[in-house]
Amino acid sequence: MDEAVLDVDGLSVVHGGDTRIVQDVSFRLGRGEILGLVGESGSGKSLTALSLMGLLPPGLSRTGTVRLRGEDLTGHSEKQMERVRGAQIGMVFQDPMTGLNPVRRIGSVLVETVRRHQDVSRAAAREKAVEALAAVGVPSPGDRVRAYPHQLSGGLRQRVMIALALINEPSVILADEPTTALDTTIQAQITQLMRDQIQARGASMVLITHDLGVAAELCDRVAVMYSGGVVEEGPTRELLRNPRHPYTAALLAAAPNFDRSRTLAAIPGAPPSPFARPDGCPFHPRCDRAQDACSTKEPVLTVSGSARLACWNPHD
Amino acid sequence: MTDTQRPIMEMSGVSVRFPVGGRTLTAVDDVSLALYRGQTLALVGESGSGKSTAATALMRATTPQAGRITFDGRDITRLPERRLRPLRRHFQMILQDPYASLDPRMTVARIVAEPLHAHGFGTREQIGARVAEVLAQVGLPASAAGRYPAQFSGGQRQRISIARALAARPSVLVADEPVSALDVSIQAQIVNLLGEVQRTDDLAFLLIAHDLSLVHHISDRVVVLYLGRVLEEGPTTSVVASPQHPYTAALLSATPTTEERPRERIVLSGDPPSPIDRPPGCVFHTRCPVARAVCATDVPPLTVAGDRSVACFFPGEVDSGLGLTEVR
Repeated sequence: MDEAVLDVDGLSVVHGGDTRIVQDVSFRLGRGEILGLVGESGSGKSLTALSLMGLLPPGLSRTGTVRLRGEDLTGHSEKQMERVRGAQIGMVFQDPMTGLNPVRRIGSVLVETVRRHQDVSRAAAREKAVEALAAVGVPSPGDRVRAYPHQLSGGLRQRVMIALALINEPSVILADEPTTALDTTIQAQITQLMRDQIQARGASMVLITHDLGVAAELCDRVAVMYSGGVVEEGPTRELLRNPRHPYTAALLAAAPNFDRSRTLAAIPGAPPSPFARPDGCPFHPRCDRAQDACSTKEPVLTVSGSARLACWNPHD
Repeated sequence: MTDTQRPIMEMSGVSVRFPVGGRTLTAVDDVSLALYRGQTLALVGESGSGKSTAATALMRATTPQAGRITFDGRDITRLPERRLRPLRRHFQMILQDPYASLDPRMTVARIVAEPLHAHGFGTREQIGARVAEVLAQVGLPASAAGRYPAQFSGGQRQRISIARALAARPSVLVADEPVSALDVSIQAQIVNLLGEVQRTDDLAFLLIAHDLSLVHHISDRVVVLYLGRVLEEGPTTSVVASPQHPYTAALLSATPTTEERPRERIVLSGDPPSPIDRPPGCVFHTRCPVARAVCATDVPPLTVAGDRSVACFFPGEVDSGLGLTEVR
C-alpha cells in the first residue's frame, strides 16, 4: 500500500474549541481496499466520515489533514468540497431516504448528479442513469428511472443510493451503516453488490459499521474505534482471530454468533461521554486487563507489523 | 422439559387479517405456538413475517379472525376485556424501543408499580417493597426509583421495562426485539439479564427477533416465520445445525457473524412479496433456490419429521454452509 487513495492524518473533530469528540484519527486507504471503521454509538465513527466530506454539523470543526489521491483537502472551501463530493467520493448512508429526494423521480436525481460533475447532454446523462441502475441490479431500469423513492422497497432504494454513489466513478466510496436498516436476506444482497462493484471498478471504500459481522464479511482491514479514537487496526482475519486490544476482544465476546458453547460476555458499564473522558486509556474503567499505568497515561496508537494498537497491556 | 407438560399459553391455528383499501392483508396465517414454563421460545422472521402481529394476537391486543388462544388451559380468544383484565398480570410484554415505551413524565417507581396498582397487588408498603426488589433484580440501583426515564441510557431503560414487566410476577414474558436498538456491549448485558430472569422466575419466555445468531444463544426452541406462515419449528440447536427448510438455511447463511465459514453465503434474490399480495402455493417459492412446479401451486403442510416440523415439499436440500455440527 504505497500509494494511498485516501490518507487521513491526525484528524480530530473539536466541539466548542477544546472538547475533542474525535481524537487524532489516522489511516491510509489503499487502491481497491475496503477499510472498516467499527465502533458503538458515540465512538466517533460517523463524525469521522462526515468530517472527511466536510459535512460536519454546525458547532464542530476539524483539525488534521485529509489527502485524496495526493490532493490536500484541508484548506478546501465549501465550493471546492462540493466538487469532491459525488465526483471523487461517493456516499451511501444507512437510510437511503436521506440521499434521495422524496418528491423527485430517481432518474432526475441521477441525471442531475451526472451533470453537476460531467459536461454531458441530458440525453447522455439519462442513458448513464439507466446503465447505473442496471449495474446495481435494479430490475427494468428503463422504467424505474421514472419511479419515486417511496415506490421502491428498502433494498431497491439502497441499490439506487449505490448507483448514485458510483455514477461519477469516484475513487472512494464512504458507506455509513449501509445495510443496518435492511432485513437479513436483503443485507446479504447489498453486501454482495457493494463488494462486487468495488472490485469491478477498482474503487476503495470506507465502511462505517457497528457490526463486526458485517465488517468481517466485507472489509480487508478493520479499525476499531472507542471514545473518539482508533484503539486497534489490522487485517480483518488476523484482528478477528487474535484481537489484541481488550476492547476488540470484549466486543467480539459480546457479539452473538453460532457457537452455542460460548455465552455472551457483556462489557460492564457504558462508554464515556467525550465531555467526561477518564484520564489515561478511555477504556480502562471497563477493562479486565487494566493496570496502574492505564488510569494515568493515555496509550498511543503504535505500529506493530501490519497492525496498529493503543494499549499498555494487550492480549498476546 | 417433557412434552407431556401442559403449555401455560398457547395459540393454535391463529390467523390475523386486516382490510387494506378493499383488499386483505394476511399478517398471520394458521400459526400455532406453545409456551411452557421454564422454556424460551424464539419467534424469528424478517419484516412482514408477522412475528410481531402473532405476539399481539397472543397477548390479546389484537383479536384473531381464526384460531384459538388459551391461557392456563382456558380459552381467551374472544374473552371481553373486562374479564381478560384480571388475567393480564400473568402475561407481560417488553417492546423494542425503550425510549418510546416508558412514559417520560412518570418516575421509575411509578412506571414499575403501574401493573401492581392495576392488579390490586397490596398496600402502598407492599408495592414499594416489590418495586425495590424488582429494581434490584434487573440490576438497577435503589436510587433509580425516584428518577425519570430521560435520565437513563438505552440499556438502563430496557432494564426499567423488564422491571415493570416482572413486577406483578407474570408466568409469561413476551419480548419483541428487546435488544435490537442497543449497542453490542449493552445488548449482551440485556440478553444475559433476560436469560437470568427467565430461569429465576421460571417464566415461559417468548423472544421475538430477526437475528438467528442472537436467539441461538438463549432459546430452547425456535419458530421461523415467513409471510405469516410457520416454515420450520424445532429445538434451536438442531435447527441452527441442520436447517431443513431452504428459507431457514438461507437466513442462517445470510446472518452476519465474525465466524469463518467453509462456503460462500446463500444470497436470495428479490424482495419478499407483500403480505397483501401473497403468492399461491408455498409463500417462499418465488425466492426459493430449489423450488419446483408443485411449490407454485400447492401449499406444503407443516409436517413433523424427527425433532422438527417443516413446511416444505423438498426439505433438507439446502445447506447453510456454516459448517456446523450439532451441539448437544
